[in-house]
Amino acid sequence: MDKLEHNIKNAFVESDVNTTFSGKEAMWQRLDASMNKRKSVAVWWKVAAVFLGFILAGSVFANFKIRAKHQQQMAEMQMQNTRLKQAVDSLLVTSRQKIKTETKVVEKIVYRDRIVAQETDSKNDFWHKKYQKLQDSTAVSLALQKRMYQDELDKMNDDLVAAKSELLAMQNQEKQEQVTTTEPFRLKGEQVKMEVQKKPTIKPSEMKLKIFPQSFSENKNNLNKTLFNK
Amino acid sequence: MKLQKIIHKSVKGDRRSQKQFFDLYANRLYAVAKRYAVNDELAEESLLLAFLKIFEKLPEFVFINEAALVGWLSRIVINQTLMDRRKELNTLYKLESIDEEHIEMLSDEEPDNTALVELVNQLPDGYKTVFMMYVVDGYAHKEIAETLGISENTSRSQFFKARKLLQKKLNYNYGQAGT
Repeated sequence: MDKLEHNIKNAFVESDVNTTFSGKEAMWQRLDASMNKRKSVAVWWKVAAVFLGFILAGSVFANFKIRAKHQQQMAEMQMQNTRLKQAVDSLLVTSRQKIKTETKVVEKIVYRDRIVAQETDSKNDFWHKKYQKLQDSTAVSLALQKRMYQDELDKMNDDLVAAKSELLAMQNQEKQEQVTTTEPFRLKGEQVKMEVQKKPTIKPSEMKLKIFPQSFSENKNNLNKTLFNK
Repeated sequence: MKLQKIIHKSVKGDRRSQKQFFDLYANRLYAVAKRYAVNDELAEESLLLAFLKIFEKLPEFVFINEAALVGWLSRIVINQTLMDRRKELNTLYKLESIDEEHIEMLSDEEPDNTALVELVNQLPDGYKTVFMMYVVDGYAHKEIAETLGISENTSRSQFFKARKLLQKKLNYNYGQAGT
């Protein structure tokens, strides 16, 4: 630093020392007020920070609680879901079993030659089947009984026909016996001698074919003649 | 009351001690603020804000001696004063030439301290700030550049231009008195 700069520095230092600030008291008042304000602001911020801390802690706690509740709900839902799946599986199995039962019913349908409505999902399936079964068995027993009666009736009819024919034969015999006792004479049996068969001797000229059956008069053209005598 | 005790109590928040501290350095720091501010009102505003910062940062200060304390306080005041002018000064330093013709010529008499201060105060704003920071307040060019937000080279060039201008002015009036 040269002399000029040194002198300038000293001049300014001296000037600074001699400077008096007239508005010092007014500035201190402002400064005091500002510091108080800052202090109060700081206190307010502390309160706000504590409040925010509480809110934060509360939110974290609530978050944990909500998460736990949510997890519990999820677990319950999953359990319910599993239960439902099991129920669906069991229903699927039962429906398959029902189909097997229906197959049996179809066999009966073939036997009875009748179509039965298939109700797999009906709650009264058991009673319906039982009813069908009873109906089927009743029908079968009725048919059997009917056939038995028919057979018996046929047999009785045959017996009746046989009895009738026997009666008729007996009546005929009785009639014959009555005739023999009333006839004055009896015809002798006639014997016929059969000779050896001879070949017919027909002249070829006499062999005439007759295609047209009607007889032709002399005035009409004999079609048989014109056909063969050509 | 001893200065260290005043500082200690001020740090504790004792308002009386803070007032004592303020009374001790208000005049000197007002002079510093006035050097860098455009007018007295802005200097007062800057000083108020600087004192708020001083009381806020006082717990961090390690007391060695009063000179160090004054230097630390001055730097806070200078920084606070220049903070608002930073943009303005930055634009000013970007201009290539500064009108140097408005400097009034001094009389033929030997310049006293008041005249020297007046001469420096008459320098263009950009020159004056860098010159005072470097010469009066002992800033390095790197620190000036950081504080004003300009490059180190700009700070150097501004300083040399300011010195050249002062020398020219002093040579014109006082011969070789300034060299």
